[in-house]
Amino acid sequence: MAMTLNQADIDRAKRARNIIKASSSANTYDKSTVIKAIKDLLPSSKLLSQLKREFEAGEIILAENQQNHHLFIIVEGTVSQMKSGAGLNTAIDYQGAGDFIGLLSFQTGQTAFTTAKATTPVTTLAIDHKNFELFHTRYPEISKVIQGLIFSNLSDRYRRVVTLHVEVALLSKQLEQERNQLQNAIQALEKTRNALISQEKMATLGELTAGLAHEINNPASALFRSVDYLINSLPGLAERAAALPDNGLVRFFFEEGFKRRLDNSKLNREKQKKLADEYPELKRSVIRLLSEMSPAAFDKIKPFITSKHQEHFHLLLDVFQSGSFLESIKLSTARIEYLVKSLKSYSRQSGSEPEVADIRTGIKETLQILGSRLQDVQVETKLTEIPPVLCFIGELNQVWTNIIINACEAMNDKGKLFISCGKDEKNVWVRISDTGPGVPDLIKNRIFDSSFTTKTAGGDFGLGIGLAISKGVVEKHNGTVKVSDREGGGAEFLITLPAHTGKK
Amino acid sequence: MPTNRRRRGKSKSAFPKWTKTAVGLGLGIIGFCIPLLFTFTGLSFAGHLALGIFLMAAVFWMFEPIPIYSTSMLVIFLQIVLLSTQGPLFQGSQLPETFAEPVGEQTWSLPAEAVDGDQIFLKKSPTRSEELSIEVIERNDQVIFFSTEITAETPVVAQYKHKLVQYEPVSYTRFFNTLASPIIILFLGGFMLAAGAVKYNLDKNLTNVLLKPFGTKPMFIVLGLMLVTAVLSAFMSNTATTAMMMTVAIPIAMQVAKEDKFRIMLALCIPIAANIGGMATPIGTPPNAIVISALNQQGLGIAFGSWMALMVPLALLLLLLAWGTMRVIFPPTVDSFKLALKSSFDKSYKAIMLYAIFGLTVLLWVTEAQHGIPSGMIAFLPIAGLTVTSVLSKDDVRSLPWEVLWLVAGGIALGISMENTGLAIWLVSSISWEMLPQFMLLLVFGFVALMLSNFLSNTVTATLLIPLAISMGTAGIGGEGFNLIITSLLIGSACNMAMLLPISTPPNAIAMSTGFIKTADMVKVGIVIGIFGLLTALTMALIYWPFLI
Amino acid sequence: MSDIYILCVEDEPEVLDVVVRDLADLEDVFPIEMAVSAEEAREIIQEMKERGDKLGLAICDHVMPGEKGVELLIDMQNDEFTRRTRKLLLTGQAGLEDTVEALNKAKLNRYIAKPWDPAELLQIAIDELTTFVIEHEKDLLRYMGVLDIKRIQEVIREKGSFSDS
Repeated sequence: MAMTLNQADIDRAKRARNIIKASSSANTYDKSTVIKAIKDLLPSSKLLSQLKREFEAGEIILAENQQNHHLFIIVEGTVSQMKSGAGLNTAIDYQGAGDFIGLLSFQTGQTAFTTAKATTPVTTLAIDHKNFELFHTRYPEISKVIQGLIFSNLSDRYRRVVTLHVEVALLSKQLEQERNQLQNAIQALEKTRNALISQEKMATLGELTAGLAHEINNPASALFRSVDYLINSLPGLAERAAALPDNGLVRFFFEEGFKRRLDNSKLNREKQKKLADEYPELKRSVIRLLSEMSPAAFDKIKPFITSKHQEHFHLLLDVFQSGSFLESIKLSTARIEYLVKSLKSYSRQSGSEPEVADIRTGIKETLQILGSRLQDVQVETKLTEIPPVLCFIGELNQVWTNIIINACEAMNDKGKLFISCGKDEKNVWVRISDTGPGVPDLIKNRIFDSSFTTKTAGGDFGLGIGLAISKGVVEKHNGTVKVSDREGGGAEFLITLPAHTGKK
Repeated sequence: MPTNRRRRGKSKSAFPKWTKTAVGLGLGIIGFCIPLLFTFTGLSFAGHLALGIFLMAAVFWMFEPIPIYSTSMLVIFLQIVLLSTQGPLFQGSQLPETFAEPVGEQTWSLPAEAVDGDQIFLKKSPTRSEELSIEVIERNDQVIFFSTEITAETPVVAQYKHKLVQYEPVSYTRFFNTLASPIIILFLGGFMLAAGAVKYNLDKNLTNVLLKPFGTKPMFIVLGLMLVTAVLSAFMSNTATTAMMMTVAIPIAMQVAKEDKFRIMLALCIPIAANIGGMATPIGTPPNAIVISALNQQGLGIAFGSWMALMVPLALLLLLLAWGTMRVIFPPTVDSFKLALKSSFDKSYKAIMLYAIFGLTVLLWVTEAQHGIPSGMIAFLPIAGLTVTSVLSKDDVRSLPWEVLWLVAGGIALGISMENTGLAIWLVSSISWEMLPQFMLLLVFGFVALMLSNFLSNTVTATLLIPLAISMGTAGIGGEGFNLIITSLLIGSACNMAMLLPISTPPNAIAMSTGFIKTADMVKVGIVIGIFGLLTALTMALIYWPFLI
Repeated sequence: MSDIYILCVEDEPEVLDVVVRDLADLEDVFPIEMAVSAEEAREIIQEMKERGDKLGLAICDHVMPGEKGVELLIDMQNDEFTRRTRKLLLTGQAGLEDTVEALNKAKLNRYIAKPWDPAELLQIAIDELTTFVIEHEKDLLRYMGVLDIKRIQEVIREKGSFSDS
């Protein structure tokens, strides 16, 4: 053993032994004191020097699930203890000078429970079973100190485990609470989402009602006012007609009025100008009526214009006007009837059972209902023959409405809208595209998200979840909805729905 | 008659407006030229000029190619140019003089061109001549005549056709002065009072207060409306009064059915009462101003209160006549009406100043005979008072009907020239009136005035007729018992009785445009008032007025 | 003398027809022009301008193909010739936004919802035209027969629009 011991080392070793002795007799196992003593002993003790093992930072000292034959006492440096499991490597503890590595596996012979890895350069004393026995006999005081250390280490660990248990219990309690809160939050979100969806539905409804109001108001006004006029004028007309020499005239002018088609208003104005020059004594309202008459009717009424026949002249005018009002009533009633029909089938509440239907009808009705909104939009439809679909047609109408309104908004209500449909072996598809700015690639994925909108707050109607609802409805029908770019700009929505195969 | 009511259709078949304008202008200019191209015996040179102006003004006033007030301005302009001392015609001109040469005892000889028939003109001053009748003994190029009044030193006008003969030109300021004559100032005072009354709603509130005692019975309401309208229009413009009273009458009229004739009465009673009410005071309507200023020129003052004493009874009788007539023609069918008469007098400082000045002025006017302060002087109380207290602002002063003052001033100025050029006398003396009794004379004048003013402006009618009547009196043509005041008053009131047509007076036009009245309705009542009103006025002129004058 | 016109703009002929009928009482004094689009309305306005007539009242639908009613009214407000024209929106549907825009930018005078009460429409037209003639016309008598007599009388009284003569 080519080892020279200098005096200082020897002195230090002596002091160390004394310290160890003192602590073993006093049964006090202070880690740092003991390690300092061991460090002091190291240079002079051959045994200890043999046991010394050094590790680089990052080096594995003991790997998990390995057989372990050493008990490592860390003299210097830090070691991290890691446990792998559930797919991740968790650092569970850090050990420093005076701590042990592989204590349990060394004592019990089981494989190592954790992996020990040096995080700094580490100096250890690696004691195998042979040396452990040797210590016991040759250095009883050191052995005693080590055992004391082991004991204190174990009790430390035990204490920590207990604390951990408590912590875990606390944590899980907290977790439980948080989980409950989360659940509430999710419930609230769910509610909000439902509310939003129904608001969107209301907004769509609002749009529809406003459109309808205009569509119906116009014919209703005309209807209402025409009836008003007739109520006032008809009773008198009957009496006055009796005074007319040729009763055929009344019928003629009534029919003329009924057949009246309003000219281009510009042409009409020119006609009126001419008439006004020709008959300066006539009132403007009379001139207007005359201008609306067919040449044949005008020829017949002309002889009556002279003041001699004022009575008859005005009677014929009134008859003509009554006819025209009746025509107005007829037209208006037809318009209202048609609108109401469309509305009825459009909003057909889906029952609990889906029905086999031609989705093209729904598309046509939707276009009808949205008429006022689409005034400046050129709609090109190409609805070819397609098989029926088992569906809730009312809900699908909502889909068409949402996508069309979305397109209109994107185009600022001016542009073209293309709607076509077709089929492949199993599915029918509907393609709705517009000439708007299109959907940027970035947001193509998000456009069907319920929180997504490009509409600014305030001004625009709706909440921007129309497309999300549409997606939901389509998916409920086992279909898909996709957005892509239309050739030549604009967005294109493709809705695919499974065709009805014949079995319910 | 400033209404250009145009009904669609009718207007197209009628003459275009420019034709009327052109005809009016053409006739006016022809009228002006006639006296310059022809010589009328007995009419002086200046009389010819005045006749030209008179004819032109009459045509312009009738056809209205230009507004009637601008015709007045034109009259004054032509007068200062053609008839004033400073105008080019008379500037520096002197009467040519000669002296009679004695032929024998009080027998003289003169060049023939100095003698007009059996008249010569003695030169009294460089611009003034006086006529003298002579007894012509012999006539060739020299006229030998007998006269006791002439001496060798008496200057005689050398040319009896000289422009200065029978006309002494007046300074141009004489024509200008008509604009500030007492009667114009009186009117200005009246205008300012009226403007203040409108501004502070005194007229409306007074109406509501005065109408209350008349209850809710239809005929009493109408009577109330008529009396209140008449009272207000005696002090305010007839037109403004009508517009204001219409806003009271219309809501009442709305309460009866469209077909109900009572509706016509409600709308018609207002302009009638306003026209009649205008007679009651000197400031009631512009024709009154023409009458008063013409009388003033003859040195005949007529106090405010005296005028009222003469005219108020007539106005009341006419109101009753109109009321009774309408009651027959448009009988009411409703028992009573709801009246919302709420008066809320403005109590601001300015409003109270107005009430005070208004009250004081009217009081002083009415009592003119007692204190002797002329009404024109009193009129300056509101003129100064209302502006000093800033009751009326600059804008209010600007919006006074100044053109009416011009119209009247032009009328007065024309009257001056008609008289002092001898035109008026020449005109009236061309007809022999002596055959007519006083009663018939009045009747003829009244009837002419009535007819004319139904188609012409009342003021214009007075302007054209009053100088003629005055000169009848001054020239003695009217014969004995001809009373200037009575004749003028009769003509004045006849002018105010013209309410036959919508175009007769502005109040008629306003009532007509409400659409409640047809022209036929207006004519019916207008005829009754015209005929019976004139007879009533005649009766008063013969049996009531003479006692007060 | 120039005429004061009423202009009705409405894309549906049947409705236009009844609007004009409701205003027939005014027609003899205020001639009525009809347009089925904003574009035609502009032509008519241009013609009026060239003839030297005036546009007293514009009654305009909002929802029309092509240019909207409110846009037309705003343009009218920005044109000297039609700035004083009384403007009335007659519509079954105009969003709040459009209406506010019309109020602010076109100085919209009235708003009438469809279907309307004919008496109300006529009364509103009378009110608006009365305001127009009072503000811009001198000879008010011409209009008194069909317009608001009370208001016109009041103006004659206050302004002394014409005087005794």
